[in-house]
Amino acid sequence: MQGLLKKLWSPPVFDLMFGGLGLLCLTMLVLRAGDGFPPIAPAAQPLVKGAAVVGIIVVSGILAIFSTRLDQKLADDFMFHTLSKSAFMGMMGFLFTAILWHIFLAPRLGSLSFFSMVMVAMVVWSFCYLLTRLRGTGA
Amino acid sequence: MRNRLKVLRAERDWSQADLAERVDVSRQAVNAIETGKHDPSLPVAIRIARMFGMHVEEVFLLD
Repeated sequence: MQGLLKKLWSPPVFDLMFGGLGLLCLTMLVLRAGDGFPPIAPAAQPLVKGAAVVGIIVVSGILAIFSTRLDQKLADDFMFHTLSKSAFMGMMGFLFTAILWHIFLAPRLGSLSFFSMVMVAMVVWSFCYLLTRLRGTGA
Repeated sequence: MRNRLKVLRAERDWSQADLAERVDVSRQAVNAIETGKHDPSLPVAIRIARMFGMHVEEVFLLD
């Protein structure tokens, strides 16, 4: 069982996963970036919506803590370092992409839908992962 | 950080996969350490040095 888990958390599995996922999300992004951006209706119960957002952040945070702990336990330190560095780069890359799009391109090309933004996040993270694998964790 | 992994492995006729199995890391990790693309954590560096019967500073050298 331990051997199987080690194999699942090995570099070739993550290479394949990020390569495939990145390509899939890139394709979806190109195909669906032009989709409509429906307006968000005001909430009937604003406080409930606000509380629900905070609740989902807490639940997601707890999930992230457990999944990160699992990664740290099952991946070797090279893999964990690669994953954590690429996740950090991906997060910064996503923020920069969103800001640059909003400032420079949104006025001319229109805003991106939530779906497109999720695809952007996955593409940026996949790209950062593959870049870290090629250049190493020290680069 | 530089290291003498390649030379030490060659002296013992070990492949990267052999060393990876002995140290309990992936072959890709050994390759990344050997080519200077990744600095190992202290526990991994100690395990590697022990595998060669040496001290950490004899295997890993600061630039």
